[in-house]
Order: sequence, then C-alpha cells, then structure tokens
Amino acid sequence: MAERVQLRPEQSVIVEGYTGGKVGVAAVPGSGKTFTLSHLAARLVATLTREGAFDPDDEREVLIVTFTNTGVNSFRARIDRILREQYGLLSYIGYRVRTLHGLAHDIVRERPALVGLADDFTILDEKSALDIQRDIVLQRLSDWWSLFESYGNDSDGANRKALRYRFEQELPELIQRFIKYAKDLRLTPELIAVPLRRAGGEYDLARFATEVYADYQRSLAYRGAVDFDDLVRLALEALHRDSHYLRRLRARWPYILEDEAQDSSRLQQEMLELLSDGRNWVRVGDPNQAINTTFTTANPRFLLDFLDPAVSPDVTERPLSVSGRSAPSIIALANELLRWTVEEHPAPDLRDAFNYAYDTVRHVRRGVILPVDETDPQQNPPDSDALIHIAYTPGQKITPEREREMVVAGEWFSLAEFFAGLESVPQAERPTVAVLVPENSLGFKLTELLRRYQIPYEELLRSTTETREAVAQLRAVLEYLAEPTDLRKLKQVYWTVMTPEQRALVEEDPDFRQTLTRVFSRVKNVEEFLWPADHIALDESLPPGADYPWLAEALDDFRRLVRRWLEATILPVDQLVLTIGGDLFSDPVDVALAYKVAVLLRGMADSHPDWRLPEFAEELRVISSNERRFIGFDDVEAGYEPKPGVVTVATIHAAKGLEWDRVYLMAVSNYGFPSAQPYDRYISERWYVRDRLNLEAELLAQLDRLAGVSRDPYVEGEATYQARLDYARERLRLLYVGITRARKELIITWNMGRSWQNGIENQPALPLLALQAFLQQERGEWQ
Amino acid sequence: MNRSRFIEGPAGSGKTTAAIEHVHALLRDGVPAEQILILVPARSLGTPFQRAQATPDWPPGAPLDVVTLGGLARRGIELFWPLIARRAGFRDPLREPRFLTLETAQYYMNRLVAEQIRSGVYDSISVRRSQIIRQTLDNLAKAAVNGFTLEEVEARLITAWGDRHSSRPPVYRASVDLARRFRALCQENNLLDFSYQIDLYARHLLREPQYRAWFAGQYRHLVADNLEENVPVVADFIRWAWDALDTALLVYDRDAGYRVFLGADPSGMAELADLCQEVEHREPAGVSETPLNALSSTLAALLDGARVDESEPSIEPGLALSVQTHRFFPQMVDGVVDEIAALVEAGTPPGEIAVLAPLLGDSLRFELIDRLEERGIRAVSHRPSRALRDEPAARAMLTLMTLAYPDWGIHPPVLDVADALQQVIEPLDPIRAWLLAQIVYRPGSGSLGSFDVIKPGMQERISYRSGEQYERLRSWLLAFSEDAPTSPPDHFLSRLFGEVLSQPGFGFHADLEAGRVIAELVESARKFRQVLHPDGADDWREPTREYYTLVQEGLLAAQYLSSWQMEQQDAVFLAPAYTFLMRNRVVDHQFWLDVGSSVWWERLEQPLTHPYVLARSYPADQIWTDDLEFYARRDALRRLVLGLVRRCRERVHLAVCNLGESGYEQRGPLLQIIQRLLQPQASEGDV
Repeated sequence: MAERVQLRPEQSVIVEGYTGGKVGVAAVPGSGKTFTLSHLAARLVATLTREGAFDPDDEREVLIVTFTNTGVNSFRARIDRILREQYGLLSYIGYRVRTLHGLAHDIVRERPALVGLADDFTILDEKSALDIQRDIVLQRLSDWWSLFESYGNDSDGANRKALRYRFEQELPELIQRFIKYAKDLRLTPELIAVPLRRAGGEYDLARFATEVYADYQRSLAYRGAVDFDDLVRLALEALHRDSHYLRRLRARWPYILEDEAQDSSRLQQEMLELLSDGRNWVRVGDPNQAINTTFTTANPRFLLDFLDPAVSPDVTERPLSVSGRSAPSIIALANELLRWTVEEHPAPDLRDAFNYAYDTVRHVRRGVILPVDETDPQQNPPDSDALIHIAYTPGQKITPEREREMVVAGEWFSLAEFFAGLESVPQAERPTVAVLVPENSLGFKLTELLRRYQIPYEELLRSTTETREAVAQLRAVLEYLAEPTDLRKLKQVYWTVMTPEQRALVEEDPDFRQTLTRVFSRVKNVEEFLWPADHIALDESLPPGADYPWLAEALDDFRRLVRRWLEATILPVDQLVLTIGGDLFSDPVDVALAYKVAVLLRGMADSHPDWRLPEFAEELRVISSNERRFIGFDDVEAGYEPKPGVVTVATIHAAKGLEWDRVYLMAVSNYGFPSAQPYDRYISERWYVRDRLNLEAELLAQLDRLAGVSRDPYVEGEATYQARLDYARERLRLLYVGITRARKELIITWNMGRSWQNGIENQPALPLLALQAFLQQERGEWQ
Repeated sequence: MNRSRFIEGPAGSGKTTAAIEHVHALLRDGVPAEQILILVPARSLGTPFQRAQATPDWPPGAPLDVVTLGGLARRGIELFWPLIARRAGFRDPLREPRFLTLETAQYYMNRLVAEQIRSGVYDSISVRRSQIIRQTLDNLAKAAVNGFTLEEVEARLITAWGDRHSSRPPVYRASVDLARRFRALCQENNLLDFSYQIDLYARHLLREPQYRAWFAGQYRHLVADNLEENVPVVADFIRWAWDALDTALLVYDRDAGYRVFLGADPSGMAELADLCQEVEHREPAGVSETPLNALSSTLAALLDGARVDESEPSIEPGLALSVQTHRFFPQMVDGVVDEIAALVEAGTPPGEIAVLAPLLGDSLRFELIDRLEERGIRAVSHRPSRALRDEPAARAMLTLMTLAYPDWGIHPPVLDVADALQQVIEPLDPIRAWLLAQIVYRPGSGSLGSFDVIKPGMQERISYRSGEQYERLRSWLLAFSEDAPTSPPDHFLSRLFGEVLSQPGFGFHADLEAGRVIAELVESARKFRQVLHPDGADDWREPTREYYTLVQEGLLAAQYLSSWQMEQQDAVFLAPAYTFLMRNRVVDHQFWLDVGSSVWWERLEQPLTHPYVLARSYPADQIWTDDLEFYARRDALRRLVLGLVRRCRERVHLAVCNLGESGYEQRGPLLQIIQRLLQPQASEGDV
C-alpha cells in the first residue's frame, strides 16, 4: 500500500476533518481543489464500504458533481488511484462522478415513465436541436417579419434583403438561447403563454420565441426525444413528482461533493439541494473563476451565498487559499487584478466582479492567493526563474497578424526563440507552454503559423485533434463511397489508410511521391482500378521501373479494402461504419469512436429515413471540422495533460484547471475584455440591429419579466446595458483565469482587431494597462 | 377427474421431462393423441414435446396438440363465430372475421391516433406515434389476459399514478379512449386482434354451453407446462375445463416468471396447486456442492437482501465466475471473442456457448457475428441483425417498386437506384452500378432511360452484358405499368422476382438468402392485401402505394424474418438474456455482456401502460410507489440471474466495460452486486 500523501493544513482540515454537514470551500487557483476533493471522496468511499460492504441492500455512493466531462474523467482517475493505492479497494465502486447533465440522465433513465418518456427515449444533441429550431424559425419568420424589420438598423435600411439574411442566419441561435433559458427557469411554452396573453406589443420578441418554443417541444415529442436542457428539467420533475424515488436517491447518495460550484446553475443548485436534503453537501469553487455565466442562470452568487454566514448559517467555511502553483510575482499580479478591479476600476458597476471581501475571522481578503510556507512539499517556483512581460507600448499599433507573428516568431519572448533555447534540453525535461486565446478562431489561425514555423503544438480547442482525426478518416471513406467514381476522393482514401511509414515516405521521398502520382494518374476510370474488366494484375498498372517492390501488394490490399467497403454500402449505415472502422483502426479509443459514430449515425438514419451516404458524410464533416460537439465523445478522452516541449493552443475557457510553465495570453484588447467604457464594442451587439441593442439580452429580459424573475417593467435597452456589465465582469474573471495558468512565465499581448482598416480600432484592455502600471511600479521599487 | 398432479421446482429438476413421460404413458395406455391438450405460454416452449414425438420409441399416432391460449382461442372462434359474433356486438356476424397480426392491428390504430395527436392530448409526454399505438395495444392485451374491462384498465392506471402530476390521468384516458375506438372499429369490420380474440374467448365462448360440450368431447387430458409464464385467464380456463378432464398435469417453475411484462402471473398460477390431488416438489438433480451452485445460492442471498457472510457457502462461488473488465465497449466485444476462441480451441463445442446481453442491438449483433466469423467460429442469433425492411434485398425491391409506379411521384435518390441495380444485375459491381444509375436514372421524373442511347464509350465502361440485363429489367418495369391497376402489391413483388430477378444473369438467381427475404416481403404484402383489402380493389395502384408508405414508416415489414430459425447447428448462440431463458436451454459457458449496464435491471418503462398495475394480483386501489418499483425490479433481476446460472454447466463469464455502447459510464445494479461479491474490506479511513 502506498504511503499517505502529504496534505497541507488547509487540505487536511477538509480531507481528514470532515465529519458531515454542509461545508463551503472557496479555493484559489492552484490550491489543489481537485486533489483535495478526490482525497475526501476516496476517504468517504472507504468509510461507506466499510460500513456496508456486506450489506446487499446498501447501494450508497459518494456523489461527485462537476462541470465538464473532462472534470469527470480527471476526478474518476484520481479517485480510482487513491482507492486502489491508499485503501486497497476495488477502484470503481462506491462513488459516481457526474456532470449535472450526466446526473440528470441517470435520474431520468432510471424512471423515464415518471416524466412521460418511453424507455428508449432519445437525446437530441445541440446541433440537431438547433436544426429543428432553425426550420421552425424560418417557417414562422415571414409572419413576423415586420417585428424584426423594426429592429433593423436604419442606417442600413436600404438593404432589406441583407437584413433578412442576417436575421435568418442568426435568429435561430438567439431563439435557442431563449429556449435554454426558459428551460433553466423550468418554464414550458404553456406557462409563458399565460402572462404573455396580458402583455403588450413590447413583448413581441418573447411572443415570437414562445411560438417557436411550443412548436419545437411538439416536434421533440413527436420524435420521442428530449434535448439536454430537458434532461435536467425532467430529472427535477421526477424528483418532485415521486417523493419515494427522491427518498431512495437521497439514501443512495449520503454525501454530495460539488466541484466548480461557482458555475452552478439555478437547476443544479435546486437539484443538489433537493438530493442533499440539508445533510452532507460539500461545495468547492472559486467565485473569481466564474466564467460560464453569461446568458445562463449560472451564477457565482449561489456559491457566495452558501459561503456567507449571514445567508447560510448552517454552512462551515473551509478555505483553500494557499497555492504553490505560480511564482510569487505572478501571484502578486493576479492578486493585483482583484485589488485594482474592486478598488479602482473606472466603471464602479464592475467593482463587484471579484470576491475580495474582508474575512474578519482570518484577517485576510477572500480570494487573495497566498504562496506556500517553507515547509510545503510543493514550493512556488522562485521569482528568479519568473518572467512577466506585457507587450504594450503607448501609441503602438499592432495588427492581429503582427501579434501572431510576435508570439510565434518575434524577436522578444517568442515561441521560436523559446524553442531555439531548448535544443539541448531532452524532450521530457522541457518546460510546458501554452498560448491562450479568447476565441477559437484565433487559435485556428495561430496553429497555421505554428505549422509554418514547425513548432510542435497540440490543440485544445473545441474538440481534440485525435477525435477529429479519427472522424475525419471515416468521413473521407464515406465521402468517397457516396461518389465512388471520383478519383480525387479515392486518392484521399488512400492517403487516409496509408501506414505511418508510407506517409513518412511521402513526406521525405519526392521520388515516391511521384511514383504514387503516376500510379493514380494512370487510372483513367476508377472501376478499372477496383474491378478491372479483364483482371489485369495490378503490377501492370505500376509505372515501369518502380523502385518500391512492396507497392503493388500495398495497392492490392487497398483495392481489396475499398471493394469490401463498396460492397458493404448496401448495409444499414451503422453496419457500414462498423465494417470500415474495424478495418481502419486498431487503437481502442479510435475503435470506440467508430462504434460511437456508428450508433450515432444509426440514430440519425432512424430519424431521417431519407438520408443517404452524402448526408452521413456531411454529418461527419460537421463533427470533424468542429462545428458540432459530439455528445458523449468527450467521455472517451482522458483529462488533458500538457506535454513538455509542445505548445498547447487553447481558449482560456478550455485551459481552466490546467497549468503551464510559460503562458501567452493573446488578444487582451477592449473587444475581448471590455470595461463598460463608451468606446467599447460588444460581440453580442450586432451592426445590423438598431441602437446597438443586444437582442439576446432584450429577449431574455422579456422572459425574466414574464416569469416574474424581475418585477421591473420592461424598458428597451436596459437589458443591453446590463448585459454589457455582466459580460465585462465575466471577462475580467476570464483574464484572471488566464493569468493564473502560468507557473513561471507570463507574456500578455494585444491587437487592434480586424476592422482597423475601416476605422474601428481596438484598444488594449484597461486591466492590461493597470497591470502594466503595477509591474512598472513594482520594478521601480525593486530598482 | 381420475388423477391431477401439480409439479413444482426450479429449472433442471426434470419437470418437463416428467410431463413428457406423463404424455408418453397416456399414449401407451391407448389414449388418442387428439384427446391430450398440451398448453404452453409460448410456442417456443412447446418444442420439447414436439422433439419427443420425433424420437424412435414414441408411440405412433396423430401429432400432439401443443397450443397456446391464443391458438386455442382462435380455433374456437373460427368454429363458433356465428354463435358469439352477434352476442359480442359485431355488425355483420354472418361474415367471417379477419384476424389481425400485430402489424395490421397497428395499421388500423394508426388511422385513429392521428386525430388524437393533433388535438394535443399527448402533448405532456414525449413518445413517438408508433409507441402510443403499441402501448395502447398493450393496454388492450393486458385487459384481455387479466379479464379486465377497459374501464378497469383506466381506473387502475390512474389510481396507481396517485397525485404525482395532474398531466398524466388525461393521457391514460386518451389511450384507453383510443383502445375503445379501436374496438368499435373492429366490431364494425369483423376485425380481431390478439386481445380481442382472448377477450371473446374468455368472456363469450367459455360461457357457451355448445363450446363446453364440444370441448368435453374433444379433450380428456390436460398438460400445462411452464405455468409460471402464463396469464391469469389461463388459470380461469383451467378451472373451467377441470371437471371435463380425466387427468391433468400442471407444471410450475418456482424461480421463473420471465414473462411478467407480457402479463404472466406466477403467483396466481401457483394457486392452481390447490385444485390438484397431488403436489410434487422437486429439487435439481445432483444438488452436490459445485461452484455454480455456490454462485447461485450466493447471488440468490444477495438479491434477497441477505448479507454475504451469512450465506456462508462452503465452496468459493467465485470459482464459477470469470470477470474481464475493459474501458471501451468494442474492447469488451474483442475480449469476449478472444475468450470464446480460446474455449473453442480447447475443445468446447461452439454450441455449448451462449453470449447474452441485456439488449442486443443490431450494431452489436453484427459486430459479434462478424468478429466470431473472422476467427472461423459460427454464431447464430435469435434473429438476424436487420429488420426485414432494412435487408438490402428488400430495399432493392422497394426501390424498383417506386420505379414501376412512376405516377406515385415518389422518386428515390440516385444512390438507392444504384444500390438496387448493383444487387439485381448480376455482373454489375458497385461502381459500374453507380455510373449506370447516374446516367440512366432521372430523379426528377423517377424514370429510367435506355442503355441503348447512352454514349458507346460509357456503354463499354459499364459493359454490354450488364446493359443487356438492365434493358430486360427496364422493359419489364415499363410493361408492368399496364398491369399495375390490376396487380396487388404481393403480385407485383412476386412477379418481379419470379419473371426477372431470379432468372440467370440477375443477382438473385442463386442468392438463397435474398430469395428468403423476398418471400417474407411478399408475405407481408399478401397479409396487407388480405386483411386491409379483403374485397379487392378497383385499382390497385393506390393501395400498393399505401403498402409502400407503411413499410417506409416502419409500420409494416418492421419485424424480423419469421422464417428465421435457430438452426440445429453447432454455433455460438447470441441473444438477449430473457430470450435465452425463454428458450429453456442449458449450455456449458455463458458470457454476460455489459454487466454494468443498468438495462439488466430495468424494465421497459412506458408512460401509457404498466405491467405490474395491470395485473390481476395487484390491488386495484393501490398507488404504485417507488418502493414497489424497486422491489419489482430486484425480484425480476433475481429471477433473471438465477435462471441464467441454473442454465449453465461450467462457468459464467462476465464482461464489463466502464463506458457503455454510447460512451456513458456504467454503474448498473447487477455490477454492484457482483462487485459486492468480490469486494475486499476497506482497510483505512473511517469517518
């Protein structure tokens, strides 16, 4: 049995000192939140096992709820290990790690009929849901066009067609948010319709959205399907409907541990409250890292209220405020962002973006990160190894292209320079490094440049590269099978099925490349290659004098494979994909992905009987090009581990919970990180909508009023203003998350945006200037 | 009654053997086979009797009369129709009744449900139309097998729901109302679905003195096997018949009862023992201590809620178990295939291996059979991995059907035409079929152009031989349009097959499998014609189109090949666990797939019906609580698990995967019970 790990005093109070009841943990970045919670979970599992090991009626489990599938995987892996190594127990029983949706799925799955579902109900993923919503929006838009025209930007009134086009493109997603939000509030279309009947014309946006919502729900029912948001709503419904079921689940989960509680939504709060029943509920989170709140009912307020003795007197607070992750100077910078925001932000409305209240018991400010003391096994990296660079000089104008060049190959602090200095360092000993961007699109552009400079990188954007590669391979095959006479596509398939050795040869050996080109250029008609009329030996199709004796056999194997697949096209699509997947993949993850794709496409075939190979190939294109989240797919991915000497390209959102030795934060401008200043522009305020209205905010504000969430009368524009503040607060926290990812080195850059040629220039974000001023002052003091 | 006997015992205690011996003895004593009624809950459970009479020492004579209650009812109704039809309220008692299959019953109900759905009465639940239909038919069946009226069904469902949410009772009412309207339609048109046959039999025919006299003259001996799987009206029937019999033998398995979902009433059936002069309790032969027996008793104890340490088996039950754990589902499939290959290698006959899954989806079935075949191991399943309408040959026929009826305006996509051509024109490979379809098929009009007018270069690419066959097919389809008004759909299908596609040079010429598929398709079309258009049609084009649409919507031909039978061959058997139990077969090795799946424990839960509440033994005024649900499921799991272990001779191989078929983590109760059996005690960390 392995030795017990050393816990910090704060951690030990939680892991070893917890005996039950409600406990709130505000954890600063790097304080070992997952580590602590996993150890607590394992200890509770061991206790439950000991109490009930031989009692067959004992189905008790520790329930751990976290925010993302990656979080689920990483918890599970840790708890597994601790149970095995520290307690000598079977590693996979006695607990359950779930996202809120996963938990809801468990609850509904067990008793579907309680909430009007058949046992084989299907769950629609977000893209399918949006497709249905789009159809309904477009059907109904003509009847409502005058409403949307009235929201059009007058200055652009000349081009109504363009306006219509914009609305057709963007309205469906707007309505999707409305429906999600309504479901978060547990409002059915019928419930919204009641107050709508009394409401005036100023609520027409909500009226339109409610009509679409009603149609959408009907169309789900017709399919025997629910969407992800329904799942949570229905799980709560089931618990409310059947008190015995609730009682049974309460007995099953005597301990509930909640991670990332700052992102808890109203429904999550309600569900866990209901399940924990005032008993054992440990909520862990960092209100200062709440970055998923915009236009959802998620709110760090839930955690803050839980931690506030005035609101929740029965909760014990157990802070995790000590962090060994970053160098002291980086910690100081992060703490300064809190202080500056709360005390000096020029927009007073934003000063509540962070939790920085004075803790009268501990005599510290909440949220402040404290470095470890000298006895700690994980010491903060020393400042002598640290570097902070903010690439801003007053008056300097940096285009987005220039910013990328600076980061990848610039003269100072660039990746190229960084890697040049690492040449003699063995791969495993190289530092980890990440480039963090506010949006996916910037990440994609950056990877192009990294490729050009041959800097090793990994993407951690919406879905992982490997996932997409496996799906892309299946897609290449399906695309060919949909049009089997297309030689270009057949070549693509050949490329896909090539062994890594052959592929390397193609890269390195121009002669081999030419040979291959000649082979395929001799194929006039695909059928002659695959099913030669007079059974010519394949060797004859090889160019004379080919130096690759094995190529004929390789081509013959390829031919056999493609023939097998072509002959399988008459099978149902799942069986076709299983056949192809079985031939293409040997890695278990890939095989599992292929299996999953097969099941997914089978479901699609059932709901779209008119779909054929081109449509299925298109679905795979959507998945492989990242436009669609492949539901449940993440479950196969283990939590991400940064690799030494490989650049991680990620959004800041995706980087949460991770750390690197060196971190670049890009595009820290007032567009990505606005500060409620008059010159700020906001992503949700569309140019074609009049008065810079944020239609999404307006629509949801109407719903808030109808639902009685807000008692104020609806006044157009107020919600837009409020949304700016909310967004600006969240982006401040996002910046904080970005900064706290760095262990030793942090480089922050900005750019003036794509529209500078049209006279719209972004500015460096205000907090960036404040942090630079802070650095200068600090350095001045040092000097 | 001269002698009445009730035999009860678990699987493997020789009950059915005793029943067969009893029949044998009767025959030896000179009782004519026609006088012996052998009543079983499902046709598959009659197999041992049929096999017995094929043995050499079986006395010669008429074949045994092995029937289900449904069969008995149908026979009686056919004989006594005019007598009961009038009393039962049928509009035209002089006309013969039409017996509906599940498919055709669904079709009729489909006509009625559309209006209801439009009215929004089902808006508070989320189920497909086909499920509303199936669940309503289920309510009708439950009413019939329990002897409930539809009013009682409605009242039971609503009472059991309690005050959970006000949206549900109207939905129950709607379903029962649909059932009533369906019954009215049946009365109007002399239609009899399964439930109505049972209902007529139990409520009307059994009360007719004429029927009783006929029955008494016909049967003198009753053998009822697998009573625990039979429905309450069967108990009524047995009581009704009792006095007319010379002997009766009732056979009951105390641990089974796998058909509760279909209305079986094990506890009610046990009460029939009170009628009998002799009651015989049996135990399995050779109760010696074996690891499998230890496993079975440990599992039983765990599932009964006893503590493991209390059950104290003297032999380690784990010896009869092997467990393999994988992360991903396909890895598990591979692992199982590896283990099977090793067993076969070591001399286990494939026929002694059963692979059992909680649910056996098409993808899994396909994958398993494919992988086993790669290893040269034969495998059979209780059904093929595709519904009839998904069979490539059936799809090809349906595509050709749309081409033969261009005036329908249903124009299949080019890919479907290419698939059809690839299959039916023997020399065509998929690419040339695709090329040909691209050139000759006009998806806008749904018409096929002539091969003769395409460019010679292209003709050559496709090959003249294929072109010739294509032209034969095309001319046939063109010529058919003249016969279309007078040809019902089954005629179209059988003519197309017989006159063209089965001829030399066509793809189905030597393809027995395709022939079998098409025979099934023709049969479904024939039933459609006989039941829905018994009086023929002036113009068959529209009814044929209706047939096509119903197939596309999955209301017809959605079943599996009925001629599909598990051949008596030495092959690994794949089946859902319940199906395996209903086959009542014993094997050396069982593989339980996906042990973590919660489906092992789940019942098919449906929002419009309820198998437990719609049971005679369930109190009419009781709310169905979660506790009842929990214990019902645990009881079902207990029966299932014990039933499986008792049907295993050597070893149960458990296959676990952490992530299920769709990638969700698996934490089902069966896994938890197995884990409890294997879990070491916690060593540290008390709170």
